[in-house]
Amino acid sequence: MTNHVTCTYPGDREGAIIDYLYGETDAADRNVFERHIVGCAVCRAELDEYRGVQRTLSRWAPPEPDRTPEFSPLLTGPRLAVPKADLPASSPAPTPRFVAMPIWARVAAAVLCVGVGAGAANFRVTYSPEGLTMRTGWLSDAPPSPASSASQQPWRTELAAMADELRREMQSRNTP
Amino acid sequence: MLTTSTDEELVARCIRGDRDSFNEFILRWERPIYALAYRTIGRKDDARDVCQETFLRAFRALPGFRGQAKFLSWLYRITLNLCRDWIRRQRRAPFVSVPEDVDPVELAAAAEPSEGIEDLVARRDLTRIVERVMTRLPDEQRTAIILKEYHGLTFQEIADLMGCPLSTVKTRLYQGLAVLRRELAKVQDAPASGSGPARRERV
Repeated sequence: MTNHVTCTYPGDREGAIIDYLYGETDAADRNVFERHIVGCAVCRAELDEYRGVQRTLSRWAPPEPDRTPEFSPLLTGPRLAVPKADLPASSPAPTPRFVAMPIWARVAAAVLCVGVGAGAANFRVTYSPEGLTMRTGWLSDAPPSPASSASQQPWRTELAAMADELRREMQSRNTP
Repeated sequence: MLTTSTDEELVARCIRGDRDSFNEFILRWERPIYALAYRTIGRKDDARDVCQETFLRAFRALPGFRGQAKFLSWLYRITLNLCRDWIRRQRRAPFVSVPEDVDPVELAAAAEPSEGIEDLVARRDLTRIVERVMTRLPDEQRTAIILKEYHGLTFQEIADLMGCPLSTVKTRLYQGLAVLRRELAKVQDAPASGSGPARRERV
């Protein structure tokens, strides 16, 4: 255990430790602190412990998002089907693992989400391999309704038409 | 195909409505955004949704982006706001709706944490241990640690994002690391069978 009482660093000791640990300090301050820690076992021990914490933290990687039959316009796409083992061990970030969907569809879905969301807060439009689909619930998937596939068809047609309209709108925006 | 355009160039093309640039926009930033959301709220499906919502809002707000901040910081701010909203909703509302035939007390007993830290140590699951220990941090400390350790933001960038003085960021980092050091030391000392990496790990 460390004991701050025995450290005689003149000034903001906590700030100095954090500056030094993360390398965000100018050369002069760094020299002052380095001279201090040469003679201060308390600070050296504390720095070592925090570096140990950092090493442990580095082991925390977010899991890959689940693939679901109906998914969001982001974080999905055919490339997600590539087995993790087949991926390069250290690919540069960001990797294209998540997305391979036409962007017009995503943007259309995005705009539809926003537009429709204004009228019905718990309604969301997403895009799946079968086309535009819907789900309900704010930031969560709604349980599928037994009659959903039958009842979605007219909606899909309507939404696909809206998406086409949005696509045309985007194209016209591109045209000077 | 990813190009080597700068963030600013890419954003400018997105604002002009270039479709390929929208695609690149997402490819370039979805992973750090998802990672930030996941580490902040700890649930991958909800993190995915926060990520999606971040891009929706970003698309809408792009025309108003004036380059007043580094673009990724601007995206992080949207993500953190959504995470904060999510956390507030979780605290206000029951985590799950309780079916009529389920005893809420039993359900609560079965709720998180479903696995003791000793079990995790026994399973040598360091990822889950870190995840669990991070939940012990107050929100502000956790956010500061995540932004620093996993996203490499400077103190000033974190201060701008969190809307606090630079000195407060350093204090949160220091206090957060101190809590993590203490909690990880408990894990190290936790009784567990075997002597896997979790027990050997110097923390």
